[in-house]
Amino acid sequence: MNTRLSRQPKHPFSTSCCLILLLACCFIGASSIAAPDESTRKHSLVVVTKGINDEVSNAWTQFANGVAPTEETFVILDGGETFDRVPIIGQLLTPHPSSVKSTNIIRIDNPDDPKNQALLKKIAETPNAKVLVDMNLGLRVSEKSWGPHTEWAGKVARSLAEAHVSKYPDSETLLVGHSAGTEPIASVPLYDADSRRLLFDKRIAVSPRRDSGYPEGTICIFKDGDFYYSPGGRITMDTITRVLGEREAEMLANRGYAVVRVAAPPGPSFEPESGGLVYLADYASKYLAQTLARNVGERFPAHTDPTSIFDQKEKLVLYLPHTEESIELKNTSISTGLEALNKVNTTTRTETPSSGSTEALKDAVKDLTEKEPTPGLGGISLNATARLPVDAAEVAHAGFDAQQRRLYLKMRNGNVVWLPTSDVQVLRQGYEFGYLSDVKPELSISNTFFDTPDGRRIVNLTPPGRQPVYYFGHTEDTLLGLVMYLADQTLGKLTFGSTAAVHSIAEKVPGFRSMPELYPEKYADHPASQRFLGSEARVFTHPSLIELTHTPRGNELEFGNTQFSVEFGKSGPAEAVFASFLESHFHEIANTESGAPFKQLVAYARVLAIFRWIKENKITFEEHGLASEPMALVFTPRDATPFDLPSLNEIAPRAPTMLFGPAGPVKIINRDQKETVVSYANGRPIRVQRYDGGSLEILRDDLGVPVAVRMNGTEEAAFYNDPTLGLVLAANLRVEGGGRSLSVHINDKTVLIPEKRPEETVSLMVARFAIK
Amino acid sequence: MKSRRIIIIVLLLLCIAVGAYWLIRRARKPPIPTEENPDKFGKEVDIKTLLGTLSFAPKLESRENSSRYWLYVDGRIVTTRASPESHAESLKPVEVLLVPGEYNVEVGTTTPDGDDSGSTFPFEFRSQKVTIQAGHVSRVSLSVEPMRYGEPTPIFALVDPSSEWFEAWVRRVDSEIQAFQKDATQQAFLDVFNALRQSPPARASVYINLPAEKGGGREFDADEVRLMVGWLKRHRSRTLSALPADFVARMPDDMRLRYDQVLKAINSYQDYVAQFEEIATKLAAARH
Repeated sequence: MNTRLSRQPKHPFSTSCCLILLLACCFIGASSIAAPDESTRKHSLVVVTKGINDEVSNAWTQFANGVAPTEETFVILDGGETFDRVPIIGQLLTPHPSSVKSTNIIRIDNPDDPKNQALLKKIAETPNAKVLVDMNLGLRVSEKSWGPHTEWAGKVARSLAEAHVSKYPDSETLLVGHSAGTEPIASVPLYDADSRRLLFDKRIAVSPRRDSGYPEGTICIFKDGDFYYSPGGRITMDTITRVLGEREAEMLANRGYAVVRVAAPPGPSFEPESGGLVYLADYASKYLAQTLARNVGERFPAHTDPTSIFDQKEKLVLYLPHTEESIELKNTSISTGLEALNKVNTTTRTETPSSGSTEALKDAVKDLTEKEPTPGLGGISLNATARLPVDAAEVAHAGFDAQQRRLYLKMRNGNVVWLPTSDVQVLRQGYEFGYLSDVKPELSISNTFFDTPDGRRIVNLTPPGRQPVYYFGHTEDTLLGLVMYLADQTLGKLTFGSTAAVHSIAEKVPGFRSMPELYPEKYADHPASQRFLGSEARVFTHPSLIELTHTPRGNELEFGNTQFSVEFGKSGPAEAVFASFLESHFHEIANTESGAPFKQLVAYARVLAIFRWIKENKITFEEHGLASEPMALVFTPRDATPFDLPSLNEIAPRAPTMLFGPAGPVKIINRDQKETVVSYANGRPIRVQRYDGGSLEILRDDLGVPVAVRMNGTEEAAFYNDPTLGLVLAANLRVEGGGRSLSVHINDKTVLIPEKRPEETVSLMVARFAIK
Repeated sequence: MKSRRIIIIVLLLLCIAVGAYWLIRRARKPPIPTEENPDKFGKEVDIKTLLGTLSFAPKLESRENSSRYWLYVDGRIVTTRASPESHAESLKPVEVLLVPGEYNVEVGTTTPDGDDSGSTFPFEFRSQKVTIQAGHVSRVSLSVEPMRYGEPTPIFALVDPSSEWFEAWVRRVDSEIQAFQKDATQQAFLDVFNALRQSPPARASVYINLPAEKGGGREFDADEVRLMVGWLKRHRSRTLSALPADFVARMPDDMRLRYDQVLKAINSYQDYVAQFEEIATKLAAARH
């Protein structure tokens, strides 16, 4: 939808956590997730070693259980009852019932014990197994607390791999670790001692804790701003003062690792959900341990974010081993980056993995980015390819069963895997556009002309007061076209609608606010609104993940996770909050009466994604009469009524809510209608006046650089250069005077915290102080 | 036997006592300093001044030969002053409070009354490095003399509207438009124009990545943008503007028809440049 307006993703519902298992899917793909039928399985072993005992590390196990309920999953514990437990108020609780069979949760204290060796061998001989190696690390980061557990995990991973490749030499094996769980990647030997075959064909270190020691070809994934290395749990001054970034990515590449780096946007987000509490009072009374704690609070989002591999990122940078050149991918998910690296990966069972040439990677990136939504689109793009838990190489053909009116996959061994049921008309259109034409169905409601990526300018003249509708992929006058049109109208209404227009949605989906409600200065009709939006603004949505999983019945698949991404042509803090909310509540909205067109869109997006998977994997499709099913003839509008921005009196923001300005939130209204006001100067926060009378003041120099902070007029802190530590944030001191006589009185209880990015620290303080 | 029991009991009691002591210590939170707590701060050990002062004094030989000027620190506008020629106040030093460190101080001057020919880019920047120390005043003085005009570009001479002359004129128009499209300055303006189309600036100045020969990337305010857009309009106007009506009237009919077509391209160019004024309008609005 193109209206008088613009994106940004960031899922608050942290998919976050868990997706190490999805990384596994990316690399071993279908084969890694066991088809229940023994004879259709391709042998594989995925070993996942989680990080420290925090919510993130536990959450991925829940995810794994949800995504692959029939998959053979084992959990190996080294002492604590950490599996499926989340630390809540100091206790480990089980928030969700575990879907891993209790008999598959095994405690192995000493992996060298012959009895345990036999047990590990038995697990490893499961033809298609995923093993979650759950270290009982606790929260402490030190060599002493890490060493025994990472060593244990390394031994378990090694024993599993040795037993597995000995029985299945052609099997695919993957070792994935996150944070402390990346340590075993460094300790497990590269080759099996007997067969000289690689123990793990692929190794992925998410948020690596070291810059050396992993085998060459290991893929390292991290986000800018993540904790600096702490090899073996060793904390150095660098660990405290530095963070991972571009330089570290280049060094990792230099040492023979492939790197997926998420280039972080400047400054932290203003999402209320983010992180723990950081207050000046905390700084004032604590010392080095607290310094680290503060760093944890600040860096934790970057530490966990790369585990959400399907979220669209601001920018990804890919580095190949031993190359200086890097490749940038804008607004792409880590899964796409991994897929690109995977495409150029040339691995044999007996050679150290190599990640191909930069040129090949560029080609792979090009192929993948061609699948991205067309630039400049304001509407809908159905660009996704499904992720199936089936090895495409094992599929003899796919087809349509006319009697059951359902798609199926015929495996080479003769077995049949049934795909989820769908409406035949949807299947027919999916076959037409996803398989026969192999196009990317898209719709855009925009200006009188549209520039296509191949340089063509399409002109669509419309009557005065109407906006042209562009259908791409030959979808005009089809049901698919109409579904996209209606979904775009819904998207437009949700994005640009008045309070009354989105009332029915807001009632069913608490917390929903349209853009005019969040940012009336920009998205409401008033004399100065042109200053904000210019002639137009656009928003679009497209599926970012369509996943199929096995049903418990075995020989059939069902739809798993389906995610849509909502993007603006140009985004600021308000757009980011809106998009994030819409993404995380997409299906809730689709289930409301007003959001019904989204439900239709989901149905088409899923079927198209399946056909695209069949096509991309060059699988023959036996249509058995599907082609002769008549395609419904419908009229699809060539033009549409533009969405006029609501007038100011049509907007009645309801508490709790936030109101935004160009620089960020300017007013936060809580449930009791009490307001917190954030003031800015030259686009930077200078004061927060909280609803409860609390205030936070940021003193800056004439260039806007933060110099000191004053909370509630009493707690004070300052940024300055310390002769030994460099730039520091000093707390528990007095800030006096103003202007050129602004000074700090330092006492022997003053705490000095090494500081790298004062503006980010200030933003974090502002956000957390404001939303308390 | 009995003594062993006593020893064990004593040891147990000792363990309990140590354990209890440890638990109590652990439970006791460190005192959080409050206003009421006079021991909030320890013994004062140092007083640090946080900011240093940059004192900029405009350098001028005579007030009659001066320019309006913009003071920059590290590419960011700190202040702008009217020409000392008309405002004596503008000769007073400017003080800027800065965090200690090294800075690049620049002063941007312009031509006194603009340049009708558009041959000269309207700004010139003079710079000096300075180190700011906390509690100290660092002085910088740079000339605010107006810049000089460059040589005006030759006018494409109007002679008889012969077909040879007309073809040469069309080629000249075409090459000027081609050159304009490749011009890095207009590209930089287009980038900013697009960036500001959907988001208003949060500040009253915007970074424009001008090519190095034009002084390089830095912030510009609304007035500076207007001056540069004016220059963009005039810069190629000796070729890219309508021909005098009486000259056009002397053209043969077929030539006039072609002229009308070329004129459309010229008008498009002028409209294109004029839209950049919107940048200045938005910057001016952000000021309030």
